[in-house]
Amino acid sequence: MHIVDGALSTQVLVVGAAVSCLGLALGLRRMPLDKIPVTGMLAATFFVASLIHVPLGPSSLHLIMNGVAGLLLGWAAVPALFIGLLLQAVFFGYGGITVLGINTVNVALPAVAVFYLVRPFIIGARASQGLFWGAVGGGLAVALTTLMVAASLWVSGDEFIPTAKLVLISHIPVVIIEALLSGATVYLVCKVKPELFMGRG
Amino acid sequence: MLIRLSQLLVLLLLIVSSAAWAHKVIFDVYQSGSVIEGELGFSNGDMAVAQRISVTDGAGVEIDQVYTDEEGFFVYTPATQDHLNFEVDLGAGHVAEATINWVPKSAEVVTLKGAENTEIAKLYKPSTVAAAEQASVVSEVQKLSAQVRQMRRELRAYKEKNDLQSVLGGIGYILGLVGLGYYLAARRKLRGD
Repeated sequence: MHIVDGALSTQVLVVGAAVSCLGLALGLRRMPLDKIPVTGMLAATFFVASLIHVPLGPSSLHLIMNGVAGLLLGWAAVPALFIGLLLQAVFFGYGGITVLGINTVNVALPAVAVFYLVRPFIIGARASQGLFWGAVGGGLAVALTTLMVAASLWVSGDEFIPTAKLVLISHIPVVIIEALLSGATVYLVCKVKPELFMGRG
Repeated sequence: MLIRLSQLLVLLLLIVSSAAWAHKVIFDVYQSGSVIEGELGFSNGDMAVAQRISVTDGAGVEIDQVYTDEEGFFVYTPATQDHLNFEVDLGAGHVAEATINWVPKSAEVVTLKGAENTEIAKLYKPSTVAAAEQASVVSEVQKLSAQVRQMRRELRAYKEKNDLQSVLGGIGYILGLVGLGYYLAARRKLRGD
């Protein structure tokens, strides 16, 4: 899911950097004192989860966990995911510095979308309903990220449909795993600390 | 019951998926005598098989192409002396490129100018070297080349290894940033009060 340096056109990189800066500013403004520990925890979760890969045939895929970040943080997911991507680029060379902006947009905007589309169904819901909507949010965030990655490559010259098919089909196992993981996480949060879903995000 | 199941599921998925680590494209090109050798693969040790590699000149014009073998290895013999760029696109945003300044190694031909009459020159004249000895030297060089290639792979795998210290270091940075965020938020709150 990390697009590497040199794969995208300059225009895409500039637009990605600008949008991610706006998202960062909005995310930092909407991060109250009590949300900082959750933001840090989810940044660490994303940082580690993206390093873990799921073997699939001759290749392998990694978890993203942006769905859970979006459901819990809203716009504050942008700085959380940005920090995770930055540390991965610096420590392990995944992605890169020039593509940091567009990678942040591709991972964080679906998280924010899930916040607005799915979280209303979780607030005040029973834990079993939270399990379902958490799974929907987790799977949807990854699916949207794959489409945005394909769109980024398409704008940079690749053909959209074949690229989108390749990225989306290869990430179907990740969508399923993340849906399960997000559903279980949201179920737990609904049971033990449902107030984490409160706030404007 | 469902809480325990969900806890178990989270734990199980994390354990199962921690069996291995994520990867990135690894692309190495180096001069080896009179040819250019290279390897293409991933940081988890998998090699890219039958992958097309585009060769461009200094102006960015594609002049040739080469394919990796079943070990992700390729050999390319340049036609001219130039600044060569090797580009590969493995799809889905996985691209890599490597550049090499190709200089034919003509210096490898040993010349002993001014030393024709010495004993050393006589010793190194090609005619004095037996064919069997030459074959033996070629065989030794090939073995050495294979060993160097293997060492390159091991060195690269070592460089790409994500050790626990780096992961913990990254988490440490995040904790530090959380602390900084707390400090700034507290200062903002105190000003507001």
